[in-house]
Amino acid sequence: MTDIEIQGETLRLDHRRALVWPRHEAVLVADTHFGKSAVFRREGIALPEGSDAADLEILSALLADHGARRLYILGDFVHGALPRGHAFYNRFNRWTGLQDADIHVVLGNHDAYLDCSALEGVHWHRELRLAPFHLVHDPDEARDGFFLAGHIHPVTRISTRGDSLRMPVFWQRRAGMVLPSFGDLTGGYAIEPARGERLFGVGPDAVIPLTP
Amino acid sequence: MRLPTAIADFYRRRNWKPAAFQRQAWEAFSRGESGLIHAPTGTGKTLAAWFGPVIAQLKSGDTAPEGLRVLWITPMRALAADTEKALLESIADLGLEWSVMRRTGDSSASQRAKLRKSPPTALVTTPESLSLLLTYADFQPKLRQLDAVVVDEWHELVGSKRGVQLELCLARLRSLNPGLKTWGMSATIGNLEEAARVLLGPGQCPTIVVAKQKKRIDIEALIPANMERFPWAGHLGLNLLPEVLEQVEKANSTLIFTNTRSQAELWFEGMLKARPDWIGQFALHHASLSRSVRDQVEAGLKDGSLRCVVCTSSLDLGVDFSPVEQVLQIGSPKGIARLLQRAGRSGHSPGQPSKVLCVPTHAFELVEIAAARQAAKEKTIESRRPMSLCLDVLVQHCVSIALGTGFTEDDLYREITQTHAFEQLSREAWEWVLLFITRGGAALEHYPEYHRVIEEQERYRVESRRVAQRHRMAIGTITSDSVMNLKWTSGGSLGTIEESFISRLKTNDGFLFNGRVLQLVRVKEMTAYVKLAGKQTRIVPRWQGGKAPLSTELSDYTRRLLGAPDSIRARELTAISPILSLQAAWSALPTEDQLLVEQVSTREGRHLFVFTFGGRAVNEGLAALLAWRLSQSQQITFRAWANDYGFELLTKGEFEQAEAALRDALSPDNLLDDLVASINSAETGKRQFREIAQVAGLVFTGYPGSGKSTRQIQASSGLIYDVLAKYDPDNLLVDQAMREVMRYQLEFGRLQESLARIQGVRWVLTEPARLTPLAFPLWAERIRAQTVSSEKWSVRLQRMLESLNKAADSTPRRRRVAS
Repeated sequence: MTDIEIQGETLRLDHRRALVWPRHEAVLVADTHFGKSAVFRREGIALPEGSDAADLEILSALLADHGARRLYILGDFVHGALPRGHAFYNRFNRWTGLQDADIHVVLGNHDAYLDCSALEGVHWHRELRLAPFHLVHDPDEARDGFFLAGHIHPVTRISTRGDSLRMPVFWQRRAGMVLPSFGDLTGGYAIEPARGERLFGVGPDAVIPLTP
Repeated sequence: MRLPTAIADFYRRRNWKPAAFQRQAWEAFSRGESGLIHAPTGTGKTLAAWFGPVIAQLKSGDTAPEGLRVLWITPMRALAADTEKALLESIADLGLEWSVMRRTGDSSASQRAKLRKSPPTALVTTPESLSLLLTYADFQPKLRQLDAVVVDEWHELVGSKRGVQLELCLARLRSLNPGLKTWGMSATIGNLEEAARVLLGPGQCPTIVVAKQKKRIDIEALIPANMERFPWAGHLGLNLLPEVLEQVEKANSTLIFTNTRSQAELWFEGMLKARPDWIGQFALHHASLSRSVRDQVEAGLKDGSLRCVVCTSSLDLGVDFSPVEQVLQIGSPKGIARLLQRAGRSGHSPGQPSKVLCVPTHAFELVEIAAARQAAKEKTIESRRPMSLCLDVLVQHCVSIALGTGFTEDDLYREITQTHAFEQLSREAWEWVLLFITRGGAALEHYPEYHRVIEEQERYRVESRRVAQRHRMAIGTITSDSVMNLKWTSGGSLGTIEESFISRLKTNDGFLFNGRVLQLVRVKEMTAYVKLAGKQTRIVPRWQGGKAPLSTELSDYTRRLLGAPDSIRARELTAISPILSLQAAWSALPTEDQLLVEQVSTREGRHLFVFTFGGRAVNEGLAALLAWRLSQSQQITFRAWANDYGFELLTKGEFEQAEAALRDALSPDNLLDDLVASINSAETGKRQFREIAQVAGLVFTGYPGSGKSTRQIQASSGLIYDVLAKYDPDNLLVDQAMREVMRYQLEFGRLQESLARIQGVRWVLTEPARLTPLAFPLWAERIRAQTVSSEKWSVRLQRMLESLNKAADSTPRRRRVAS
């Protein structure tokens, strides 16, 4: 876990690809891409279900470990259009029923065909202002305040002559912070940090600053 | 056997005489035998196979038989057209009223439909097209009248999954007509008899017909005048360009073989620059060029209007043209059979030997050239070992048959166990295959889209049109490197290019293609748009190292010669002797009864070099094994590399290994488990699974033009592997991926032998002050690095960050952490 100061707030970076905001008792994640196996299968790629349940368990653990009372999902909640009656709706509804936290979802580009009415107990947002932060899915849509966003799935590779590692990163930019994608199986976009930007590498059990 | 008059006349009109092997083949055919014909190209092997069924027909007196009688299988589409022409010519001449057609992936839909309705007397096709034909229920009965199947270039198929696919199809044909005769044709391979038995299936006794070969083949090397300045490593090899140009100048026609497309591009460009006056007489030929360009070059070779063609294995077989005056081979010969085949493209004038002039690109290739000559002299040649129990191919075949006529469990089991590949298939594995095609296996059971085949009243059939359509499009076992189309921004196609290469480029980067420098403008879907590059363009080299490994046989001979360079007299060995002396002085020569181990410290860290000469596959396996075992007793991270000669482990900090510890870590005990553990950490299984997932239909490659990138497919097969390994660990396809890695990538058998050998010889451990000539190529050409680590992720990352920061402090350049 790594703590950083932004806009006078302390934010905690959790290796489970989550951002924790202790003062607000909130856990934030981005790009969960639930139901992606079904979408893959529709494309002719054989993937059994399974990862959704595992991902929901991680979310429960995150909320419990940080004593959080709010969960914010910064867009691309689902991977693609899920047919009515898809097992995910039931599974998710069962899961939300068991949580003590409020669930907030900022809609992303993948959520265009989401049937929101089939999911219970979720607060839906286009964007969300929680001073001093502006919660959006796509960083390009942030207009004021310090944004917290997803969408990009940032990853980077560190190489020396003797070793090499690729990892998802938290990407701290001038105007905001881009979170790594929460779901696995979602690929990544290799980013080039500009001067003054900071990267935090996410490993199996730690988050490590890559830039001073 | 008395020849029918029509045949005798056929020969008389051409002033030919039937060769002894042709007569033998016809006689064997008339006795109802099956077998293999071994004859070099250009000796009349086509007629040896073709006239068997023709003579039978002539003797029967029926000149216009009903239905399909001869099936001619060729591994290459390009060969199909030439074969069709040759068969048609002879038929017209013999006065037979036979029809001949070809059916390949290039055939139009209307041609295919016509063919299924009224098949010709003889059909020329590929293994994939034959599989596809079997998916049509109305076509299978038409195969009952078949007299003969001829398999051309069987040596090209026998060691591959395409061979397995064909074995299954042949078993089906034999079920439809038990009297069917099968004849294969093969070039020289080390295991001709085994190949023949595989073709016919177990329990059959093949007749082998061999043509007498009188032709001598000379292997020579272009020896650099100045060995001191000749590189120790690298593959560019343009050092000898002036000498090569001199050779080209001397002859009317030259074929220059290279080992990779990018090497061909480099040489072509280099030659064009040096001799702009030769433009128009020079050409490039490789598989990425568009079909029309290749056709032009092939035509130029046929009519002799081209002076010189630089090519890759694209001209190894298939394309029929008259022999050229000389053949050059750039870089390592890689294999004995391949070099001999390439040499065979030259000088067919009577009494003259075929000759190949090898052009080394670095010093050690001189030894490989001498080794190839010595091996050819001792008649050692590579074998093509058949594959077996490829369940992915079986899954595909079963869906094909279910889609065609349907099948019952017992009948099809009996049929497929008549093949060499599935002779040993257990009933349990067979039941798993049936379960997999009907239920999708344990992990996919709940998804109807994977219930491809349905079972009804004990008959397995495909009902869904969607499944049928997808399956027909996905038939085949060739899963090639992903390629993108290459087009001008102004329109017009240039050919194709590796997707992996394009993805490394940024907009406006330049690269070489067909002798021109192109600039990338944009990438849209599966097409890269380019324009001619300006002078300022940054050119990105496409070279990715010498991918094809040295054959086992050739690496054995190379070790023999390197260890004892005085054992034979060869100009190549004399030339390289200063470098070998240096090796001996700094460290030692790797003789046959010793194992050479070098440990060197450089700024990079501590290097361990082990020279086994086991071939690249074995060395990769040994490197992973050693790294994994050493990392079990201490927290350490290794990077590992391998080439044909040996392997290197690199680690940061101090690392001193005594002989006893190394010997222990290379012991053959518990080999299989440790190897599985070590390659798991290097993710090799996942790579192998790509192909299996595609062949078994777990990944659908998309409808033509749907723009799905092969990289997406490969990425997704990685996901499937992870998920199956997690949720369906008993999936036999995952198991197969592991077996294939063992057998074909790591060559487990050879690896075991190699370890046994290593244990039995004396070890020579040296501590050279710098990298030796033998170690240098490993260091310089690091390809396909594997990381083996028992350290924590954070420890590794912290160390890398420290070293990057140090490097950044010592250079004024802005630090680059991410890339």
